[in-house]
Amino acid sequence: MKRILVSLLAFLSTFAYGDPFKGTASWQATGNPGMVKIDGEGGLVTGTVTRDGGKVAGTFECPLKDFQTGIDTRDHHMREKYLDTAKFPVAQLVLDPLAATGGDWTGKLTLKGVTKPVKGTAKITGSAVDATFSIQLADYPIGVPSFLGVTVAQDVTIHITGASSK
Amino acid sequence: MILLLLFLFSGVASAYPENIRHGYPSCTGCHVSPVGGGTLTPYGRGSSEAFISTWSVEHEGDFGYGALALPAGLALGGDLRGVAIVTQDNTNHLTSTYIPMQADVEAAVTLLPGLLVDGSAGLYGPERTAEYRRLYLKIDPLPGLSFRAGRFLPAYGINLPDHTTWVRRDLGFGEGRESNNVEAAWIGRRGEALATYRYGDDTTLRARAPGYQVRSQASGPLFRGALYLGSTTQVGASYQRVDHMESYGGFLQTGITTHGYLLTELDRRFDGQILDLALVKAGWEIAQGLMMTFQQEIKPDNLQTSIGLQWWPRPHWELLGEARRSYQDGTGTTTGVLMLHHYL
Repeated sequence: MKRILVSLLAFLSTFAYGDPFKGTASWQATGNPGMVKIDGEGGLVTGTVTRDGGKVAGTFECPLKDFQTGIDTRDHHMREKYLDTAKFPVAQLVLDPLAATGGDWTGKLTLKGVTKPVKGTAKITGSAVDATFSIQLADYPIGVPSFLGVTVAQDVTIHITGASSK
Repeated sequence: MILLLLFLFSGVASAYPENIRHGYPSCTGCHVSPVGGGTLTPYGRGSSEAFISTWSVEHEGDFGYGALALPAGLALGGDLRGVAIVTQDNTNHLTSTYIPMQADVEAAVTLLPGLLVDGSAGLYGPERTAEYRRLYLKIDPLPGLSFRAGRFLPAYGINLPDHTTWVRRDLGFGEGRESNNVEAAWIGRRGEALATYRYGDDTTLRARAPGYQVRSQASGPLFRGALYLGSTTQVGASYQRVDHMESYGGFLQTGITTHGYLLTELDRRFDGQILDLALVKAGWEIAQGLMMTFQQEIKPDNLQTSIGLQWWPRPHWELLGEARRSYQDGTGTTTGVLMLHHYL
């Protein structure tokens, strides 16, 4: 009986909690004039990946304060002025089920307290996940990031890579 | 030799293509001009505080150290630059000199949204010749698209601040070679393209000689195109046909993390005979604002190697120390350079 219960819990946990995921997130934005390329790197992603019937889904979280753009002043403005990471420390992405090998996907991104649908592409090889999607800054209460006449363009591309483990 | 050095080290431009390592493939974030150099934008001044200088306090990089608040639409600047040079020729003869390179003022005035005038004037070179180097009208009808007409240095290759490099000087972009031009420039997310027609009236080096003013009437088209690869690489090509001289070449500018950079340019010039030119310049920021540099220039039977240390201690200040070994036409020369630059 005990063995059956343990097996059942293990089986259920596959659906309830999935496999833990660890990875990194980065993003790229462009500032104008000057086509300034702003790369945000260093975001650590944790979450769970669930597999069910040839489909993969997942939930991922990323602390926003970890992102660095290579310029301290810009990092400070990003955290304090635009993302307000003290009040909204984490971004969350919920991935709708997609094919186990990847492809186009849909999901929901919660950023600064606002949840919006997003869509992107993903490549899944075994336990490794490589996903890319874009957001429009206007969809979230971030404002228009600007510094001394250079303004960040609306579309920001986000890249998540990592792997799940049993 | 001294006369030659006076000409060689009286460059004025202050474009810094090495900032591509910070994700700046184009110059227009920091400079009014689409090809860089000259009048700084407010963002360019902020950048000197944020990541170019070793030390800074807020607004230190502003015009006049922030003591004078400028109205929106007005950008002012100016440069004081001088260099001390010690040279040892192949007979071990030592020569030293000090050259006042530049004392000028510059201004960009936005007349209407998308319409501005930019210009500079002052004293240049050891003769302290009074000149205006830039004066042009710039129109930006659409984001990324601009047209210029007036006096400026056309776009070609890598806009190195050192006009004495062979890929600049020998191709017509050396000291005082600003000319009357019309230019169309497009700067997009993935690249840029500039087409210029040069109408001549550039000051040749000989204009520096006392009592000898020469204006070149060379005219013709120039093209420069580049692709942005990722955030910190630009690869491109240039072409010009100015009267009897024609040249084309390719270039690569790339960042190696946010600390290092590599700039390379290869050109071929035709003017009755072929001249091939090559430049490799690399740098590594050993502490914020302190850059170690290496530069190699090559052309037939000529070789020039430079190592240097460039320091921006605080906004408005630049200090450059460089040792240069040249073999030109069979003559070896070692040169030590110390340059001090202050901008307003």
